[in-house]
Amino acid sequence: MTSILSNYTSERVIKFEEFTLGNGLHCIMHKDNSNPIVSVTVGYKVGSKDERKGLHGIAHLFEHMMFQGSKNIKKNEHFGHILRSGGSCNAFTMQDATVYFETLPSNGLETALWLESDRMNSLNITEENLENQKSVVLEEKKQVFDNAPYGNMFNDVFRNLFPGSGYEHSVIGTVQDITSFSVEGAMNFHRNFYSPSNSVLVITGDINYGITENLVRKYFDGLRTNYEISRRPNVIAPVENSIVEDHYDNIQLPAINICYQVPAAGSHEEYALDYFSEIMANSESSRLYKKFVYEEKLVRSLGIMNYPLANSGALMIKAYVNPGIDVTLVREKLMNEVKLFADEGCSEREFEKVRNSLEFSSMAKHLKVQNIAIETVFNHLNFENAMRINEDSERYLSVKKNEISEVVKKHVVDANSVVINYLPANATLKTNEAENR
Amino acid sequence: MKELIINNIEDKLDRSVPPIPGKPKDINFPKFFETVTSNGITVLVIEDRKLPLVTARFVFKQGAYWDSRFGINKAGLGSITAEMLTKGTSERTATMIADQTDFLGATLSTGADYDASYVSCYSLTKHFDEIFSLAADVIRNPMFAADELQRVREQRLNSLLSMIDDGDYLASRSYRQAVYKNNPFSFSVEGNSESVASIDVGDLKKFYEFAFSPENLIVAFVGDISPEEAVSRLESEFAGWQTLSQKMEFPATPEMNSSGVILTRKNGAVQSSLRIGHISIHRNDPDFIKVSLMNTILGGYFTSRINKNLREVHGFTYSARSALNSHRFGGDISVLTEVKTDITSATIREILKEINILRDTQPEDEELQNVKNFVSGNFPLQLETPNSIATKAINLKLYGLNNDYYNTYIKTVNELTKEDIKKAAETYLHPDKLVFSIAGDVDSIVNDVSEFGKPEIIEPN
Repeated sequence: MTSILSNYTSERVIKFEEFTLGNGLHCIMHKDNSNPIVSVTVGYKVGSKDERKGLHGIAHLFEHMMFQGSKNIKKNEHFGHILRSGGSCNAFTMQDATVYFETLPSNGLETALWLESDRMNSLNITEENLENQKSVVLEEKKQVFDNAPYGNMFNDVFRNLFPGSGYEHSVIGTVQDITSFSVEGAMNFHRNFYSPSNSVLVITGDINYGITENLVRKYFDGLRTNYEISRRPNVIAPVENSIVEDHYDNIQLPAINICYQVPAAGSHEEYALDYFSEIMANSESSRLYKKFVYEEKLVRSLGIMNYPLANSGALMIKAYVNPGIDVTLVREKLMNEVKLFADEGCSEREFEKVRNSLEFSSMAKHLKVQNIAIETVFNHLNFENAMRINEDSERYLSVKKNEISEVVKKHVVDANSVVINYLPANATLKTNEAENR
Repeated sequence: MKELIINNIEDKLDRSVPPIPGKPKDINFPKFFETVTSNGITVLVIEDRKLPLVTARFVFKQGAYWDSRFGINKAGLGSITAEMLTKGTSERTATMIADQTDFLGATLSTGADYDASYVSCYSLTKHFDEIFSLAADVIRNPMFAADELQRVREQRLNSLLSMIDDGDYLASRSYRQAVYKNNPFSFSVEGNSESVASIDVGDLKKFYEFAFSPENLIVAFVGDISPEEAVSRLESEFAGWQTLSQKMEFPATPEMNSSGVILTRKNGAVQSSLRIGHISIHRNDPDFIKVSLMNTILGGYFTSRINKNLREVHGFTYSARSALNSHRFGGDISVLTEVKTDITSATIREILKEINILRDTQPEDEELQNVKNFVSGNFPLQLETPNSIATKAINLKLYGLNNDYYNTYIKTVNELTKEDIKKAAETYLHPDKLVFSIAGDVDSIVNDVSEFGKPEIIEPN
């Protein structure tokens, strides 16, 4: 077998220029003039983990409010300006951060900076707009979670995996909390967290460094800063016992999610667990796919998600069980496979496969300037190191084959697992139907 | 709440006036090499040396639209035929194909939509020869083994079983049946439980022989490869391949449906999933660009009228949009949204209102200019990856468009007038022909929605 790894090189280094304004705003630029588009991304170091009791969901609702107008920009005009320049924009809220991004033809760079600086500086929250977006968010909650099959599974996992911490409650929040947010509470949230010193601005694509820095200074230099951000500590308690939780839902096929609390983003373990995830699942050549989907036909599909967080991590093994198959049996068999991996590790070929796939995927995903921008936002917010985007390959290559099973043995343990079962509300009926088919 | 510390810097910038954007850079679709091989394969090559990546996309000009030509209910046949290509060849088992692809860190995918069947491979330049040979093997030598088909069929049936939990899927499935009636478009690409169960190895072989031939094939290479290298790779794998199939006449273009209200029950629903629309133009229609721009104004982007009304004014929904689905032999236009159960009828009234306004009055100059700017400015964003470029190049051939179509497209868009949009709405939007398909809590909405027609209730299974 020819070793593909002998050629493994980071053939392309993604370069950055960085500077920090007097008000603490950090700006990172990456120039790529091959396509006349630019991506402007602002990451704020605030997420659902920073929400106090009674305010669950405010970080996400707030993300909506950022599109509802600021001192010089009317409701919906943020979208208006970006879309009529031909661009696209959106935002997302996670446990640790809230990220806003627009990608547009590069002649619109200044427009994007004007828009982002205005809402960082002078958000305008009215009673009417807040009530409108509460309704929108309540419908979003239904569409994405409550009315979607298995929709709340992820939230059930986090509630059990991180009790007492900022990761316990869902990002979307509760109906009661969302309904009760006030304009004043929302403005306080903005004053506290939406400060230049608590954010990072990343600009990637068809730019000139000098001109771009001047534009950033023009729009962001004059912005006020809150130097004393009030933040709740996020203390993670380890999962001491195994937990099994059953949910009966309007679904046809049962699903299982076996989850483990694992080390935080950026740890050596995170990289090792990525190897584990890809060797075990997420492709047709993976171990669990071959055994559970292909050979034994126990499940319709399965996947492993390694979800790193700033203060911890979640590893989730999710499977949709075929009709007539015993859910407990599938769970036991999956856990046996994990144990087998912990005991015996992986083969040289499995190990190399992950490295090869990484080499291709990191190259392919960096074709898009928006992907580079978003990855850089996280690298800065978590590690204050934009160059990590280039170091990732080395971090993966530094994981030794035998370390993977050691990490699995230590962190992916039955005794500390959380198992969430989703079962058809009328399970007996469905099993019979399956047998009759 | 801590006291704010305000910077001493005083913000003297006048922020009230938006910056004036610079002149947009001219964008052209990349120039491409084009040839036809001696056995009839159309080849397109776009050389781009930015990164050591190459993609090859094979598109065969027959897809799920032809399923019903192979039996009364063979919906899903094209899609299952494509899926079965990677499930074993005369050279390799399904597992060997998956192992080899994944070991290279490459992708090899297959599929079908109404218009075409496709195979796509994508890898680092250094692995491209190997993944390309593998793609050629699955295209030329599929085995269609009975045990593999059995597995794919079971998986498909289980997926279909799961899909009835999804309100959107139910609304769209019922919509499709009501709008397209006896036309092949009334069937979903993925098929249904009866059709999938009935598909056998003989069906696959017939569909394969019909669709997968060199004369039906368009191949696009994009990335770190020259036209000479690409053609030589293609010739070495496909030189001896001959077209065997008989041409099959095109099935009829769908006719305009009559209006109707279809309610599909979804147990435990806390929202209504709506899909409201009717027959529209096919992809080659000369009015396509005009109707497409009209649709963008109606519901084709975030600041469209439908989204503004339903989300930003009324707070009825998280998302609302309209879609023009134009295929080679037909198409439809519809509004899609998911709303609170108790305002289902109010939502439909607002949608009807917006459709009527678009028919009755010309858009404002500013609104038309905004949507033109969006459509033309957005074009370079669609040219970032080899796969999106390959798909665009292939569509020129698949839909019989001119080679300079993308470059004249922007010009055509910018020449459209307010009168053109109103005329398009009058000609192509018919409030009296709309099918209202709603999936959700049927008992709660059945009385309310009868103002739009006598509801027909569907119990999914």
